[in-house]
Amino acid sequence: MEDTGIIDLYWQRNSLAIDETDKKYGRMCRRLAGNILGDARDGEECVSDAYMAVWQSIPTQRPARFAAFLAAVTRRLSIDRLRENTAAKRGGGEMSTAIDELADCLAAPGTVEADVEARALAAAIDRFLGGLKEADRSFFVCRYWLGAPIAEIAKRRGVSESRVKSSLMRSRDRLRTYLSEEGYI
Amino acid sequence: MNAFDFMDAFGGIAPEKVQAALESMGYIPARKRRGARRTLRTVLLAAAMALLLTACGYAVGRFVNSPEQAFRVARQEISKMQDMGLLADELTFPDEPDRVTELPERETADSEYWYGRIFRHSYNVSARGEKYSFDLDVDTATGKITYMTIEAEPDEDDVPYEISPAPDGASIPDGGKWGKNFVYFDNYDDIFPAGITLDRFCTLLSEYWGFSGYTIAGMQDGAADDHGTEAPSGDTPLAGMAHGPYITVYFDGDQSGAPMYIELISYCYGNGVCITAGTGHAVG
Repeated sequence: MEDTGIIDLYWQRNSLAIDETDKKYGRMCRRLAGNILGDARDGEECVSDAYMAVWQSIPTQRPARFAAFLAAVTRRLSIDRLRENTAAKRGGGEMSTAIDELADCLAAPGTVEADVEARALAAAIDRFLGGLKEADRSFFVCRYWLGAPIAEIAKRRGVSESRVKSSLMRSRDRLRTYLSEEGYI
Repeated sequence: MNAFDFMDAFGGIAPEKVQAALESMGYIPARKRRGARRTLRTVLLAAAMALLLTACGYAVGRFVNSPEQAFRVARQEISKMQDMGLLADELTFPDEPDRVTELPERETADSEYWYGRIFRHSYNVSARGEKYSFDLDVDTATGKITYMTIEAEPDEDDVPYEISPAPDGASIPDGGKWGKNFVYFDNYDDIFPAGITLDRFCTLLSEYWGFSGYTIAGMQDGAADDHGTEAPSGDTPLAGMAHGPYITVYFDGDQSGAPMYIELISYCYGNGVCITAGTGHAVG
């Protein structure tokens, strides 16, 4: 079923919407949650929660890119769960390693709490990504948005792992400089 | 700012970038990107194809172009299956559909569950009558039913073959006729002819789909996926295969390596039996 058809089902409040979402994107959601949490049961719960969150948010929304929208919801809920698990010192998947990689370049006093600040930061990150070469941007988003393992990124893109690692390291350095200039760290 | 703050904000980047990453990692299929010249060539090819299809339309079968047409074709095809002896004569098709849903063509080469089958563009027709319920996929190119689930409720005078206390915690429909029991019927002859064997059923399915033969198979590690690990004997009465694992069948001339399956179920709430056959695997 086309995405527009699935979204129509959500607008009609037809529970088939969730079945069709799972049929088409269940694998993607489970993969994403698995990358982040490293635990199948936690991941499955997050995917179910994501479907419910999408059910509750459509209507009133009509996302132009449904896959990206669903992925963003799944990712947010999975990261919330990872945050809880980290506080409780439990588990963590590939994303835990990715977060550790970023921690060094982001360490700074204070937190970003206000929603408006988070949105401004998101826009800043978007601009930063726009300034990267296509390959570097792709590696960065795959690693830190999807939480994909470096070996998998290298395999999918047909390059060596060291190529991906060096690209990520350069991008992290640039990110630190960029966020510092923007006043975030 | 800590890394979680960054991760939260990172979640809000432009959807195009997320979409591109999802595609590049194979999490979702890549959208087709075409140049102008290729688009023109495709349009010309499509026009030529349309002419050819129109010219030989009667030879290759009908074309289904709307939900209404899909429902009418589904009715005709069920009737054809009855004439062939695949389905029972008394089976009746509802007058109206509950729902008809268009299903796009779908490739499953990277799926762990679908054995690489390509699902052709089709309509899913769901229709519920007083006794019979149907869930059918109708191929738009051929008008054939490629997947079917047919349910039949028992008649008033049917006698259950098993009544057993429902396990603790089981959810029994309120006011159910059978109290807090699981009740099983075996009215399979409401759906397919009494006494038909597995071989005969597969032969008729093969004829209906236009294949040259079939192989009833077991599957390696099948038990984990509810498939049988050993091939059942073809002379087993089809109704005798109820309550077993899925019956795996490979049809000669079908997509290479992609199995079909047949499954028979007796519902525990006393609401009859069900047969599923075709391409819609529920494995995994």
